[in-house]
Amino acid sequence: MANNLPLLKVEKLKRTFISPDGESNLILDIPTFKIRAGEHIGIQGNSGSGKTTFLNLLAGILNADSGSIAFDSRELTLLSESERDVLRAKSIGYIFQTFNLLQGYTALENVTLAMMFAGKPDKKYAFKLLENVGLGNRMDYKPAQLSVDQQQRVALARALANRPKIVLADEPTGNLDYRRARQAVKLIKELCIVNGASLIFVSHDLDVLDDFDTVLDFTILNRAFTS
Amino acid sequence: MKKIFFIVEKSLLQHKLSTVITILSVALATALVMSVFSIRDQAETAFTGGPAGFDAVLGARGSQLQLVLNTVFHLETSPGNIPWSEYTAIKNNENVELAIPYAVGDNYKGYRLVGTTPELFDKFEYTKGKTFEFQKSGKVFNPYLREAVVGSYVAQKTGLKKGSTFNAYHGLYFNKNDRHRKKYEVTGVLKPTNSPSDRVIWVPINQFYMTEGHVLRGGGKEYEAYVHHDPRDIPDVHKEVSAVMLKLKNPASGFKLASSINREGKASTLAWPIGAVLAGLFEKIGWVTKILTLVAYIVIAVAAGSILASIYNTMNERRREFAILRVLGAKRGTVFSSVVIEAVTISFIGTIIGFVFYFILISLASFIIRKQTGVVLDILSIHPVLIITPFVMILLGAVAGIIPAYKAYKTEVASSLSPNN
Ligand SMILES: Nc1ncnc2c1ncn2[C@@H]1O[C@H](COP(=O)(O)OP(=O)(O)OP(=O)(O)O)[C@@H](O)[C@H]1O
Ligand SMILES: [Mg+2]
Repeated sequence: MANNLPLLKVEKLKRTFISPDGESNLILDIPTFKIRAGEHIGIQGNSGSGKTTFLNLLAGILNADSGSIAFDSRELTLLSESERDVLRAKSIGYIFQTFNLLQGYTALENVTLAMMFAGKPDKKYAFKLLENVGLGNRMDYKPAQLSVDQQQRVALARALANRPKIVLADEPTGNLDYRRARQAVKLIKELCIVNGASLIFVSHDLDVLDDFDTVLDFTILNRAFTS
Repeated sequence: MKKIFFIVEKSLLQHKLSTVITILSVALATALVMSVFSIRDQAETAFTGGPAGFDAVLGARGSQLQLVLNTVFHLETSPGNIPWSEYTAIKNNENVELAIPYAVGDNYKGYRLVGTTPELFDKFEYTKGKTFEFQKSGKVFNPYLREAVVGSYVAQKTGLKKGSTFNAYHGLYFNKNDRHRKKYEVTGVLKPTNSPSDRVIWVPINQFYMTEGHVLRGGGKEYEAYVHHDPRDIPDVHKEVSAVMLKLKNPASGFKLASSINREGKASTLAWPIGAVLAGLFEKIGWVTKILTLVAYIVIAVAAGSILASIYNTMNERRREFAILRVLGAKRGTVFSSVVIEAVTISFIGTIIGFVFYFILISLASFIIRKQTGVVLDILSIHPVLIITPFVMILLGAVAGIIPAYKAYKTEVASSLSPNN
């Protein structure tokens, strides 16, 4: 299912942040990065090396200072904000480290709401996704009634809700013990394969990334990172 | 749109307590405002337009308002009496179509006895086209016998019915020691008229001249009542009446009569037109309405403020939720609208409940006014305030929502998602 055309291609991507004392810090400088459709890439990098910033730029919830992000033959940096919102709803699944879920919504509602932003909610498919992550009997639970591990699995089901082309996972296993983290990685990979989605999986813990054929060291990928 | 309502519903349910409290404050505010305006206008209409049936009242020199309250509403005390000759004079006046004498001064358990003539029951229309009607086989009293016709409310409250007998008590307020001796016999009970007449016992005016303890001053000297057995034996010169109720030939007649009667030096007063006299009463209590109006506006403003505060207070804790929505693909506009619509929903539901409160309030007001005066409010009539207030409240709700909505609109997605946040 993987072909050779890149689904996502990043070039000369830069982002600076103003520190609290007014200094302008270059946080991210990625000369080039590519991922093919269906490809799974693990990214390992120290805390503070800019991994989250990178994913945020890819997801279009943060603006780049310069450079290009070509996604599915569209230039993300040239799209208007609302065009990016639509693109994100339809094509990008995002899982973050903690507090992923909307607290007032049940597991099922978290998934169907995501579907609403891309068009029509498909309850049957939402059921199926939750079953696939092993939560067939927890559909009507609110996040507070679920374990951290279960919450992450709801977030995974939600990320896949609109059959995205790519899933961005920002340390989704950070709060899990080793065994569960490994299981989570397997599940995420498996479901991305079933859905034909590319996967960028970020973790500071190299062990978790054992199952990835391609693992990039973010401290090398990101030229702005020193020490 | 569907997703916005879904988000709104979830948010309202997530903050149930503050939602409920805010909705109640909106409901109370709308109900209060609608009630203040509606009850005021309903009351004014009911008092000034409805129950008179007469065009003018002739009575002793004094306040026209007191005269009207005393005769039309059977409230307050009588300003005094006028000689029988005034009654016969006005009855024969070319401007007058119908003149009916009233005499007051006795009560039965607090319900007034009004002495009058049988004409009241066949010629007088208490509202357009309607004369008094009797329940079952009731009939008018014989003007020369000690008989009585009972208003429906009095009958209901006292249990008097056809064939009952009762003693009258002296004065307009009940005191059990002031009992008059000779009993009245009830000849009939009137059907409800929804007017102050329901609270009255009608007796032949002659019987007032034959009740012991009553003194007749019509002739200038005091003349002890109760010396005759047949009222026809009482010389007219001694008789007096509390008021003469008038139906005039045309509006111009009222003007002519008023200008000749209400002049300096005359012993009597013509209250005319009755509606205008009562409108004066509402003008006098206008400051009360002004204060209530002001309070109503403040309450509305406070309700709008409470919508703003209740939503604004949740903004910080919801920052992350907005960010998640954005990551899922919600547009800024969607987040903005969901907050505004949340505010509108609160004011909308509040307004609906406000209508319930309003009907409770106006029914209560109507009940009290009816109990006190016999005047009935038309509580189902649609006052413009019933349309304007909800409209304004919902608009204010939307405006109150804009400030927090703007904050939600501005949510920084990336930084709000950071685990430290
Ligand atoms: N909004 C911001 N303003 C200023 N500095 C920021 C901002 N966001 C991130 N940074 C800085 O950018 C750097 C990279 O942050 P980022 O969160 O991308 O790192 P990370 O690799 O995801 O770290 P972690 O493994 O701890 O999640 C950090 O030094 C951080 O302080
Ligand atoms: Mg991070």
